[in-house]
Amino acid sequence: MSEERHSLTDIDRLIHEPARLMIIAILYAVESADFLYLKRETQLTKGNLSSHLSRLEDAGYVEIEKTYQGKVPLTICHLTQNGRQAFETYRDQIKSFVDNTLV
Amino acid sequence: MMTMNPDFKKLQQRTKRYWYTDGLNEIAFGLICLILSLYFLAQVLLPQDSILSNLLTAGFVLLVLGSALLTRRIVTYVKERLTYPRTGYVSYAKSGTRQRWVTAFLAMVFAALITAFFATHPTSLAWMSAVSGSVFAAVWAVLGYRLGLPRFYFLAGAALILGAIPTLTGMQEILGLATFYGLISLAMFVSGGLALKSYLEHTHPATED
Repeated sequence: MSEERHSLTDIDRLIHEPARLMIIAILYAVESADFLYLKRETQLTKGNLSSHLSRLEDAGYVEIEKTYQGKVPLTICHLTQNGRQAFETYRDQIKSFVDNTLV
Repeated sequence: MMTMNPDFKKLQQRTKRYWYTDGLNEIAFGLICLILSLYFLAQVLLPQDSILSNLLTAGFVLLVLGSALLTRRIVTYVKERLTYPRTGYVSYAKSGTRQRWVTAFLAMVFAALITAFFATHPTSLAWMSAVSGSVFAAVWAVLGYRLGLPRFYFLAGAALILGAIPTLTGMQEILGLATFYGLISLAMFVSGGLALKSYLEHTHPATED
């Protein structure tokens, strides 16, 4: 198998899924974001977002914390160091693949 | 079925500019500029060497820092009650210690250069409001470009024009600064107020699904 093909098959499928990719892309740009913000930006349903976040949490990519901002209860999500690293690797792999594709 | 937005760059840029989405920062910054305008106006109106005038001069840094801290607290307070329940909470990574030191150093060098220039060229004092306007314009333009916010370009243009007015009309320098800060605060209140109005019209407090 060529190196390019190998790099594509090595892609992290957990991140590659579009909804989870959106979640990770948002969290990568900030320190943390709450459930409501993620729900609005991704336009996922509450159940879908919960399910995707759980999978990312299980993989050790996202940490979820229940807290308060003033008197408002918040479910805060942020990328772990592993999550950041995984996203950067994924981005590099996709970029490398696209760069090596004929237009 | 939901629609996926493939433009992840825009998604991330939208997240980065979320802090400015409700216009509260412009209103708060407008408040600081209004305080500065009143400060300069008081300097013009109060007799030189009066106790109050000296107190104002001595307390300038305290006034700027105090109003910045106060407005920051007000913005956080209002966001907790208005923005976060509607569209959610986002926190941003603080810049690293090294980056903060570099920014502070560059700001000090810039301030020292401007001060030295005005001290060695007394006639150039008439350009103070124009220089202030240019600095404001540069900051708004950079922010507008980085965040993709067109209304910040409007503020950059306004700062440039409003800074030039006192200089071109030959206004006395301190009065010119008072005028510039007064007008730019008005521009920020308008920009922030319109952004807030639009935000409130297009969003509603979240309800349980």
